[in-house]
Amino acid sequence: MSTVLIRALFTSLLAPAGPALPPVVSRSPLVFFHVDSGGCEACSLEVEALRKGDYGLAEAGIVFTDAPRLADMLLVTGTCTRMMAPVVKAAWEAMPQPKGLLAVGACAIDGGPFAENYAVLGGLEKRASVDCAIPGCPPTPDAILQGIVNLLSPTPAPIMEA
Amino acid sequence: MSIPPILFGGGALVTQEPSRPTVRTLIRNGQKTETAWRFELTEDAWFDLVECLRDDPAVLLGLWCDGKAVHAFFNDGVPGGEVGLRPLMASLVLDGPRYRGFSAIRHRAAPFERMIRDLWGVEAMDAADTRPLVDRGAWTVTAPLSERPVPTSGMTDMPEFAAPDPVVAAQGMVFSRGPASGGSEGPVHFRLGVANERVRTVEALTGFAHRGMEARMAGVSLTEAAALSGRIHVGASVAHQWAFSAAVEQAMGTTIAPMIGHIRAMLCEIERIHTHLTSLARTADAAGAEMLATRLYKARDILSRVCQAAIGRRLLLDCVVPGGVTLAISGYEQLPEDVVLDGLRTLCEEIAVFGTGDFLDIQALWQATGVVTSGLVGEGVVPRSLADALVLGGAIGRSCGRGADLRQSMEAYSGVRIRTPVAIEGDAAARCRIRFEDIAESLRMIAAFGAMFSPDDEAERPSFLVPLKIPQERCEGYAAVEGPDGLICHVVILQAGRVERTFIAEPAGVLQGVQETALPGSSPSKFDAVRCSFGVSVAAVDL
Ligand code: SF4
Repeated sequence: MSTVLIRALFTSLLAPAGPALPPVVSRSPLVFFHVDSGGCEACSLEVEALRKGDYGLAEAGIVFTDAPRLADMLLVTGTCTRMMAPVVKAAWEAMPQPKGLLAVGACAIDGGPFAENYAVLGGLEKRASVDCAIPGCPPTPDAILQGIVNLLSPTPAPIMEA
Repeated sequence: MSIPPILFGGGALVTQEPSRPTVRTLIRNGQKTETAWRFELTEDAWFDLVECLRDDPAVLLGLWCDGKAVHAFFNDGVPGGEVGLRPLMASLVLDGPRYRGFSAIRHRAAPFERMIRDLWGVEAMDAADTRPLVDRGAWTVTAPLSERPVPTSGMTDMPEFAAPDPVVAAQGMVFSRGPASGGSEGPVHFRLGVANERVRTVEALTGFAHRGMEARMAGVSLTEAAALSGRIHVGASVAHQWAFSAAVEQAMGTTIAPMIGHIRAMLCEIERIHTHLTSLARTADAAGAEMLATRLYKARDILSRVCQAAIGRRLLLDCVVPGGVTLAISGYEQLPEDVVLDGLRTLCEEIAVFGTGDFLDIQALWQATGVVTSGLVGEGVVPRSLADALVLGGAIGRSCGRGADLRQSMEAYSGVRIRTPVAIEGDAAARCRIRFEDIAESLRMIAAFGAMFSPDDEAERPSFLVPLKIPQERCEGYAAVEGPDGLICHVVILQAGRVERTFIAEPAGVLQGVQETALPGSSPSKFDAVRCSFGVSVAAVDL
């Protein structure tokens, strides 16, 4: 985490959402950057299970990075807290074009059990154009993988419910 | 040193010096309330109570505020062993935004005092730690739960960190990590001062994951509150839902069938294994033991798959609810009790297979991997004195020689032998070893529970779920459960058919502070592994 992100955190709070996203083109491998923006960590745990388990992620051409500037896709879990909003924004801005946004779990989509309040902004749905939303509280790693695969395939099949 | 009080039978308390008051007598001398275990204290009595804590073995389980009063929840001695929970609550009606705090005498109170200050704007006098815990100025208001929250601009300056350590300033560097590290842990920011190849200072900036649990769990229906309690943090969602449900049941005077208790305990043990595997896998990963980490992650995934096959959920959220358990063996509708028991028995058997095969292999591999065994010896040491002062439990307390375990006295574990593993080194290596031993114990208990889930026992079988309806009149209840990281405690206040308020005591808040104290001194390359050995969830710290 660079100091740039931290500074962004304390200066650009509550900045408006970015412009509509250009479509993500299929590339290989597709690089993901994961941010937990504040939930119960169950969705993060399932993303971790997907990354570290036998789900054939590498075969599907999906890798994860810990540097947003190398990422094609931003994968968000958890509701967006007011403290994390600028961090998510800074990560998004650090990513090169074209890029895509993935919301995993009820929290990341619409806040789920953690809707807007004094400390929380809520889900991404209303604030940004989400390329792929995977419902569930939490979704299973299979459902997350299915969502990603659907996003990459030319004719998306319906997303599996968790 | 004072002589500990001697307890006789029904709880009468006789001390060596009858003239000196104890915490118990001081609280009981307060004004009675409609709740048998809660007493209102005057400001003077509250002062006496704080002073009395200097040499009284009473343990402060939690400290909360509701805007009108602060409530301190005590137990006679360390919960665990034969006696179990013997709590008392002292309430002080606030006269202004201040009260005499406990943290100077009981450092355990620090995270509670900081939370109360951030949420209610009520300050603890004499506080040992005056830093904010979750309010970093990014909220829409300050003191959001108080009667008159003050709107903020939503903008703040840079966070305040302590002045750098002189050695770090002269010849070292300051590193930052988080809140978005690309990993799967919750958002938290660390600032490390490194000099001469050692981490000299560690400061954690928390609050990124604060969702306002306390506010969300006030004035809601039983179902909503129960669901929220499972989302405090995933590492202890069964434990929290159990503590919440048991607190509601206690408040309403509902007794739960012993079998339901056993099922809850069994689920809690599965969760303990899952949480320990997570922290072991992350530790191995951070230490660079890739193969070991992969084995641990896979083992965790298999555990989740087995749960999914048996009870339709990979993670055990929403299995425990007030009034019983909701288990839907491969599906989402409540099934007949016999089918559920059958499914649970199969689940226990499958987990036992893991215990006799894969688990032993992984444990042997761990013991043969230098970076996580000898590499972590002497790193991140928690001194016994600190562990005692903070009454630490869970893997961290146990690795410092503290063996208190609430399961010993919990009804739900009756019929199962409990052996709590203990080590004395207090370092990262010992913590990991204790986690392995804890898993082995949980596996043994799960096998024992499996034997109890026998459908051929034709005795009257009560329903696994008795729907509860909150009465109109006010009632209060408490419960505590031994979670994966230590004691989890809930106090609920029910009124007018709703959950008026829920007070949550989570060990993570205290452990976060322990982590900050124990991490300096470790080598920068091992920092992450040592940190992961604590397994502190920020979702649980921030609430
Ligand atoms: S969507 Fe549900 S499971 Fe996922 S982080 Fe939010 S509360 Fe937790």
